[in-house]
Order: sequence, then structure tokens, then C-alpha cells
Amino acid sequence: MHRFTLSFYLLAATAWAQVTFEDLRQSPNQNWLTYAGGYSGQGLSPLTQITPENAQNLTPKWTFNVPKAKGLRARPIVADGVMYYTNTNAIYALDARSGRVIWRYVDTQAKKEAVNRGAAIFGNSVYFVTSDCFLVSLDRRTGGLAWRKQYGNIKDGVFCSSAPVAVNGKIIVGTAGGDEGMRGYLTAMDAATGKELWRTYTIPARGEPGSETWGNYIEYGGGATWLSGTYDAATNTLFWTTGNPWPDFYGGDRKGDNLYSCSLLALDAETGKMKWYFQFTPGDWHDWDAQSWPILADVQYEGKPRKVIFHANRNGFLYLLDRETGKYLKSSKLIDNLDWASGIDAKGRPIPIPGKDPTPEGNRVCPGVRGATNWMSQSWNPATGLLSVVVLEQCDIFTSSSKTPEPGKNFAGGGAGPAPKDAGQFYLRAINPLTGERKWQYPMTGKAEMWAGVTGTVTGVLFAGDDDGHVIAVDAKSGKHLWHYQTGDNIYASPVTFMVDGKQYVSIANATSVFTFGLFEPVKSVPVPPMKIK
Amino acid sequence: MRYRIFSTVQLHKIFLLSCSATLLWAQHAKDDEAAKHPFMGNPDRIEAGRKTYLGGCAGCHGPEGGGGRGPSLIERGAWHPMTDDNLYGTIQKGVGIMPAANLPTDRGWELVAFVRSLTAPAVEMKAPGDATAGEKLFWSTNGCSGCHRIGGKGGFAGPDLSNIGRTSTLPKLRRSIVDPDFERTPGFERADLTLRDGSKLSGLVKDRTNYRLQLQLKDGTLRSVPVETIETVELTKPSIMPADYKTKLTRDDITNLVSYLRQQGAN
Ligand code: HEC
Ligand code: HEC
Repeated sequence: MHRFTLSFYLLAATAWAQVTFEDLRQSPNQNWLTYAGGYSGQGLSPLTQITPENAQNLTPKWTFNVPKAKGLRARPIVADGVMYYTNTNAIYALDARSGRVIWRYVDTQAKKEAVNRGAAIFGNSVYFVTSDCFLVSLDRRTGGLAWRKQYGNIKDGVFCSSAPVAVNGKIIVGTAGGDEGMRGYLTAMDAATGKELWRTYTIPARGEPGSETWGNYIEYGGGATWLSGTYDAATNTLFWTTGNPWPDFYGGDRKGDNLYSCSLLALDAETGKMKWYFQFTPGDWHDWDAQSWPILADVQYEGKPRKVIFHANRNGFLYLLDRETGKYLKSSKLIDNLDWASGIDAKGRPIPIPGKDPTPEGNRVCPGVRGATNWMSQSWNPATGLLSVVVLEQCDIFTSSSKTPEPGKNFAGGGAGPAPKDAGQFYLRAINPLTGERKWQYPMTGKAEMWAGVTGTVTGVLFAGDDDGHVIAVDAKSGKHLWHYQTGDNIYASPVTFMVDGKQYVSIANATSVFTFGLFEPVKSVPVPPMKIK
Repeated sequence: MRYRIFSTVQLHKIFLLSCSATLLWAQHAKDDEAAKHPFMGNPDRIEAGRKTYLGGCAGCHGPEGGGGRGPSLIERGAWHPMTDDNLYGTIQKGVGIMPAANLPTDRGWELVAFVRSLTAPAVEMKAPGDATAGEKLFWSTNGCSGCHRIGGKGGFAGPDLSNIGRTSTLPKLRRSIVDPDFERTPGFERADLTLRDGSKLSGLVKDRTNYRLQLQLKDGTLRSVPVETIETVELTKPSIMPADYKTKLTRDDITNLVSYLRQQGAN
């Protein structure tokens, strides 16, 4: 019968090293433990193996074709040589060296299918969300289901796609939606049990402070929390951006600033209470969600050390804010094609140019509806003082409809898109966020269809995707091309870099597959090991 | 985030780009649910169907649906693409050497409900037995939890069963316990390696190619081993799950275990 004693298999006392809060604070290092790379969202890896000098030797190491993938958005996380990659209602654990599947979990109960942006890790668990808003906790070693807890209801117009954020024993999750009428929020759940600890709505209830900035439809005001936020452990503060007010393209029924849509919220991570807010686009009519995650940085500003936030907004401006108070410090233009505001006033409010609202006939406005930038990652390098951002120079025709809004009926109050022969162009730009000075730019050919982000390393290499489906490496100082590789499809996700067994890798998903690169090494002939089969 | 559609060429592009472009997929899910006969999933009708089955079908398809002269009905592959209507028609009219059943309509649909239940997630089915007794047995010394995990506790030598009620069916659960070698779960062959540096390593093979082995050690740790570092590999093919539960456990024990396991993944 069985030659081995049972005791060989029995549970051992030692366990695989757990991912601690401290580990999360150290990320990115050899690991890439969060969607944004690390709590600060700076998108800068300390790994030094790949340099501007040797980046030309990057070669593909493996490809993982993600089952049922169409238009992948997720960014992998990597812990101890294992990569966790999500797609719609599914997550895969891969050997980060080989791309081979270790385990998979497919959620068969989910009642909706939407894109997914990634996973979180804490302790011995990995977390991801289903499209119908369940937070799923899995054993990271086996993929075994610990629990799935509902935190949103698709009947209320929300759905879920963002990567959860693990913060000190809590898992913070956001909601997508907001283009058909819903009320956005952030929820904190206990990492061990999934119990809801707090919930903070991004749009006040009728009668609450801020509700006076709305007209009708405040109950469906939007303010989705599309992406993962960032976190300052020193003050235990979460920083999260909020989406557009609803209906997207017609604001006639919601005159006012529509707090706290298109804003940045600073929340106490313990309670979810708002410490401050900053609104980028008051009373938005152009679907310019505050999208990309706020980058937390410590800089010398006007001769003094200052804790700041950089945020590249869809409305075309790059903002510099004080991290402690939310006070507006400065802004600059991310793009040249920006015609709806002449600038930002001393308090941080845009100075609108009249006649730029959507109209029933259609009105050409720049930037377009997709915004000057969107969910793609950025990279801040304190050594060069440069923020690298992928931007889209595009103008769209915005139309509006004052038809009575109908929540949940695919009604957005209008629409937007480019006129024929007026397609935009993507650029990778390196900007000094303190002065607004553009140091260099890398213009991209292509159809203005991609959504790839950028990730940097301290050696001065930037990894990015271009608008023709290439993964590229460019010199962070000069913007000079170093290397490229054609993936065969559009890229809608952002790169990561990590190290396993002494080797640095770079990974990014295109529409259907995850690609992983490393420095060239000649392949040694592998013997077939003598194999005895019992 | 929303992108308005201006032309059909852009329709494709916008579908890909939009954060909210999920309606097409959601629609599909609704269509699938549309045409269900009211008996489907109804425990009383399934039980009635089982009785009819034991009388008229089990002789060829096996008392538990595992097959005989007729094909196994507990493997989804054989007939899954059939609609419920087609299944009803096949049963009533017969196919090949299988005789026509010619039952009254409701009895026919009871059979369809029963046959479908054989491949439905166990968690959705009613099952006899005492789940609490099954739970006790599962977690007892020399029980199942030395190898299997549920809810973050237990061993790593067998599949994590936390969601088994969703991924397995009632007949399969029973068979997994009494005949572990019948249908293997990938990733649980044991390998004993001697490495070129003289050290030894044993674990379960999560993945094996010509170039690398992914082992899971007994504490759950994963170890990715390049083949060029390996001197010899000894692979144990038969399942390491004891094959004698059929005789060691009573019928009731097994029924109780199935009753406990089918609830895993229920939430
Ligand atoms: C005399 C033996 C026999 C009996 C009795 C019998 N079957 Fe079958 N059954 C078969 C065989 C053989 C096939 C395969 C026929 C073929 O594919 O040509 C089959 C096929 C099937 C299929 C699959 C149909 C397909 O095309 O894949 C179902 C479902 C089925 N039987 C259900 C039943 C049910 C329910 C009963 C009782 C009412 C029953 N059978 C009675 C022999 C039998
Ligand atoms: C010595 C370790 C060991 C013990 C003890 C053990 N199992 Fe298993 N079990 C396994 C392995 C390994 C597999 C995977 C089958 C294979 O080898 O391919 C398995 C498979 C299963 C499966 C099927 C899982 C699936 O994915 O479909 C079930 C159900 C199961 N066991 C239940 C039990 C129950 C109930 C007991 C206690 C009565 C038990 N096992 C005891 C090792 C064990």
C-alpha cells in the first residue's frame, strides 16, 4: 500500500514567511507587493541589475496567456518568487521565474463580468475582488478559499474592479461605476475575517455638509473610487481619488461643485473619517474623473522640506499639493491641447474658458474624454526630480442631453469621442512637478488606443508600453530609446519589476498575456534527470 | 469613465477602453439563466427522479451514475453541451441501444433534474447525512485534516477543500473518498529529489516541465527547482491519499463526510 508514513505529510509547525505590514512598507524591493508598487505610489524600484547601459540586452523570459483574457488591465504583484495575476473573477499564482501556473482560483459565483486590476497580499492571504463586489480572501500557498464577503451590490449601479489595498490589518476596497448613477464609496474590511470596519461615501447624503453643492440626483451622484489609493504610514492616512459626477455630460440638474466628485480625499485609515479634500474639477461636465493615484513625495519646496502630493489629472493639469493640509501649491499643464481652462487660481480652482461645456450639437474640447492621462502608472524619481507620465494629446466632440436622467439605464447625459481624422497622440513626458518644466518627451506612433503606464528604477531606466503594442525601455534622464519588444497586441496595463534568485525581471500584460523579461543569458543545455516512477 | 461611440470602427476600441464596458458580458450571463425548467435544482423532484433512475436506468448507467453498459453520467463532458430540452428528448425517445423511457411528462423532467444534479455543484444539492459528525471525523486525529485544509487550517498534502462544494459534485465527492486514484487532482504527486549538491528534497509536484519542478514542501513553502540541479527524481504515481477508506470507514461515515464537504464554499 502506502510506503510513506502519514507523518511525513502532516502539518509542520513552521510556515512560509508571512507578508507583514513592514514588508508592505518596504515594497517595492525584490518584491512588488501592491498595485502601485508601494504605499507612496512613486513607481520607483530600488533594483539595480538592469541599467541604461545593459537594457539593450533584455530578452523575453516567458509569456503567460491569461485564460479568457480580453483587454487585460491588471498589474501583477510578486512575493517571494510567486506572481499573482488577476483577470475577470479569476486569479493565478505563477512561478515568477518560469510563468508556470502553481494554482488558480476561478470564482464561479460572480454575477457580473468586468475587468480586474489586480490583487493585494497580506499575511498568508491574497485578496482580489469579483466584478459583483465580493472581496475574496485566498490562502496564498494553495489558492484555497478562506472567505468571500460582499461589500457592494450591482443592483445599486456599482461594480468592482480595483486592486484592494492592504493597510495594517485592513483591506481597503473601492467601487467602480458612476456613469449610470450610483454613489461611490471606500470600504475597509478586516484582513482576517472580512468584517466591514468602516465605509466612507464620496458623495454626501442629502442634508450632510457638501450636499448643498448638488441639485437633483445627489443619490446617484457618482464619485466612483476606480483605482487603488496610496497611504502615508507616518500619519496613517489614505489618499484616494474620486470619479466624475453623474450624469457625466450634462450638469444642468446638478449646478454647483458636486462635492466630493473629481477630488482627492485624505482619510484616516483607522476610521475612514475625512481629514481634508481637494477638488480638481468642480461641477465637472466632461467625465474627467480624478483617476491616477496620488503620488506621495518629500521634496525641497521653496527652500524648505515639504511633504507633498503629485497628481496628474484627466483635466489636463499636474497638481502639487501639501500632503498634510491638502493646500494647493502649484500646477502645470500636462498637455499642450488644453482649452477649457486658462489656468488654476491661487486656491487651486480652475479658471474656466466660457463655451466649453458639451452642447446638444457637439462641442470640441481639449483634452478629450479619456483625459490627459488615466489609470496608467507614473514614476517619480527624487534623484532626477522628474515625474514620468504617459499623456494623451487629444480633443473630443462632447455632446450633452438634458433628457431626464434615468439611473441604471445606461444614461450619461451625453457622450464624447474624437471627430474623424482628429485622433490623438500619446507621449511619455518627464516633467519637474515643482516647476512644471518639461525635461524631455518620447512621442509615440500609433492609433491612440493604448493605456500602458510607466515604471522606473533607481538606475535610471524607465519601462513602459507604447501605442503600437511594444514594451519599451527608455533612459530616464534623456528619454532616449534603449530597447523595445513587440507583444502583438495593444497594452492597457502597467509594468512592474522584481527580483528572484538574484535576477531582475520586468513584467507587463498586453491585452491577452503577461510578458516577462530579463537580461540575456545563454541557455545551457538541460539534462533529462534520471527519473524513477513508482 | 465613459466613452461615447461615434463609429463602428471605434465601437471595438471603445469597448476595450471603457471602464464600464461590461454590459455585453453581463447580458450573456442572463441569457444562460433564461430557459430553466422549474424542476431543475428542486430537491424533491431530484429525489423522485433518483427513484425512477434506480428502477429504469441504473442497470446500464450504474447505481451512482458512474457508467456501465451506458456511459458515465457524472462526467460533464459526455452530455453537458445538451440543453435540458434535448436531454429530456433523449431520455424519452432513447438513443442507440438505449431504450425510450416514454414516461409521463413530469416523471421525465424529474429524471432530467436528477441527471443534471449529478454534475451540479455539490453545494447546490441536498444530501443525506450528519454534517456535524462528518466535520468531527474530518478534523479527528488520523482524519483528513492532516493532509487537507479548510478555512486556513490543516495540512498541505492534499487539495485545499475550502471551496470543494462548488468545484465538485455529490457523486464525485463520494468517489474521491473511496477511490482517490480514479480521478486525480493535478499537483499532488510526490517527488523525492536528490540534488547535485548531495542534498535531498521531498514535496508535492505542483508543476513539472523538462526544465523545472515546482515543489510544495510539507509546511506549504513553494520551491522552484531547476532540473540541472537535480541528480535523480523519484516520482510516486499512485495517490498518496489512503485508498482503503472504503473499508476503514462505514457507509454512514462517508455519507457524513460528504454532507460536511458539500457545504464548503457555501458562504
Ligand atoms: C440498455 C441500457 C440503457 C438503459 C436502460 C438506459 N441507458 Fe442511457 N444510454 C445507454 C447508452 C448505450 C448510451 C449511449 C448512447 C449513444 O451515445 O449512442 C446512453 C446515453 C444516455 C445519455 C447521454 C445521451 C448522449 O447522447 O450523450 C443519458 C443522459 C442517458 N443515457 C440517460 C438515461 C436515463 C435517464 C435512463 C433511464 C430512463 C437511461 N439512460 C437508460 C444505455 C442505456
Ligand atoms: C495522506 C494524505 C491524505 C489524507 C489523509 C486524505 N487525503 Fe484526500 N486527498 C489527498 C490527495 C493527495 C488528493 C488529491 C488526489 C490525487 O492524489 O491526485 C486528495 C483528494 C481528495 C478529494 C478530492 C479533491 C478534489 O480536488 O476534487 C477529496 C474530496 C478528499 N481527498 C477527501 C478526503 C477525506 C474526506 C479524507 C479523510 C477521510 C481524506 N481526503 C484524507 C490526500 C489525502
